Amino acid sequence: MAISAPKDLALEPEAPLTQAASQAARAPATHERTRWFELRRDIPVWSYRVLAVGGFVAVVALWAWLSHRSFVNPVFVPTPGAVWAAARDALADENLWPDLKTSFLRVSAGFLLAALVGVPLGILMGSFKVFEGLLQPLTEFVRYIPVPALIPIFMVLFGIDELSKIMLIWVGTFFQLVLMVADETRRVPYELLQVSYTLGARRREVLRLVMWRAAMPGIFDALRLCNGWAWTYLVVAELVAANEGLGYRVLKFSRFLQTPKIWVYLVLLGVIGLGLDVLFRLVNRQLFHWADTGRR
Amino acid sequence: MKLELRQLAKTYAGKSGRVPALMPTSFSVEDGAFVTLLGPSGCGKSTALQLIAGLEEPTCGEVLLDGAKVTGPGAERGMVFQSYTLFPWLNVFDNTRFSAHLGRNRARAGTEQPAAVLERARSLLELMGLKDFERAYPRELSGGMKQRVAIARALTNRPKVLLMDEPFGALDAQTREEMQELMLLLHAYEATTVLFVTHDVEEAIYLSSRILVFSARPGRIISDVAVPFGASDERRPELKLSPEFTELKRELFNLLHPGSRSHEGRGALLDRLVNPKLRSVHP
Repeated sequence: MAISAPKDLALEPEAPLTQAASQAARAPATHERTRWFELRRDIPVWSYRVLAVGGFVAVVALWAWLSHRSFVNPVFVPTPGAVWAAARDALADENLWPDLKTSFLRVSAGFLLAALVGVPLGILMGSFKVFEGLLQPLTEFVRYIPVPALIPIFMVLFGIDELSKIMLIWVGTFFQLVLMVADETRRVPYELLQVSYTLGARRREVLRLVMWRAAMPGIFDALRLCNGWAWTYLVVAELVAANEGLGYRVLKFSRFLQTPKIWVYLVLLGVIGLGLDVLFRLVNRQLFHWADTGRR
Repeated sequence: MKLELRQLAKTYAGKSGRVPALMPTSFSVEDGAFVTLLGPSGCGKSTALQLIAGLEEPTCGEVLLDGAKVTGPGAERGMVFQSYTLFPWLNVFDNTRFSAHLGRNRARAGTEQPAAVLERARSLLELMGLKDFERAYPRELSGGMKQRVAIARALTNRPKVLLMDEPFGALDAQTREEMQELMLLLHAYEATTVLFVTHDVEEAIYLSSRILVFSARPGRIISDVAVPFGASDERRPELKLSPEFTELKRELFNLLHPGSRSHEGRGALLDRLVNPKLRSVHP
């Protein structure tokens, strides 16, 4: 390789440099360049919002274009206009509100049951190696059993009424939740426990006043994720022997090939999920304002 | 108050058999003293502190506090860690008075009214220059402020001895010096017995009345140095520039780095560090 000065190091001509410098002196802050593709760097808030809305707009636009140009069978992918009309029908439909109510109650029951048992058990598993040894491998094993495969067994065990649906949602979320809660508990710095002991705390007090409190923001975030999954398993549960509910209605529409209505309900499920997610985040920020997320 | 270590030792079970962390160590600390354990990383000085705190069990030997054997952690041996250990969900004031809630301390305090504990927490925070930050949460504080709260929190309990495990190790040089001044002030004002761990020679001399020098792993005490620079409230930063200070620093440095005066050791080290292939091209 020839020995010569690398071109990158050649000095810029002087004139533009001084020009830029004088410009910077006149307006110091405004010329800071936004780095759009820097790793984990923030971008302006307005641009983030534009992108968020733009994502939705782009998908709807693509959908409209595809369905109007008849690249796809309109029976399966109806036009946005047809779905909008179906949505207005659905809002007037007497079935919508009972469906919503029933589904919401099922999800809530299954989810609350999972949280009520899962959070204390997860904290125990994350705190004591004895419980971890006893329950962690077992939980990991059960977690990999596909929930839909359990439907026949659950129908035999819990009947075809509400109980079997609630239990299905419970099974789908509980085992995930326990593992996540245990992980969050284990993430509490050991020094925090040690310092509590040296301040005079007993083991029970460390668990009650420190361990649990420190893990709480993470546990709450785990609950947010699990609530999302609960809605997924709701639809699975309602595909079997239901007379009401959002999932049941989707199945019924598909039997009659009423695709616009299916799409309405799918969008509705998405909106519910997104709404609950936002709600969880808001409550989290309110309850655990002290938490230093340290994320970027 | 008297803290006494008798043949205290600790070995950990490693992958390849048992690893000695602390060789049998004996010393005692008088009331009101500021004793520093000085030594290289991994020499067992932190292990000694953990054993005294009762957070680890000794392999053999024992720790006696006022003649009573230490069997576990307790509030009469307060501890400050190198990592930040404030409770993030409590503000500065609630962190400082945390120990007042605990059942064991309520039993121990007996006559001391809760109001008196709050008063003490408040005056400690004032001493630490944190009066205006009582309502702030830990995430809003700088590293130095967090450590000051941690010290105040440990002292609220009126511990018989304050154990400090490289408490300023994570701080920048300037904050570190501020904390050293504060430590001297605190020691003079509170008359607390302090057992301090550091690997910073200057910090050790500036703060302590006595220094115990540890050898490299497995740790044992190789020297017991009385520091002749007066009481805590007589020491000023200029002390660090005095010839006596520098001389003591040199002595301790030589104790910690035996053989470092010869360049042979460094040459051998360089030989190992530098890529041998590169060396053969440019002899």
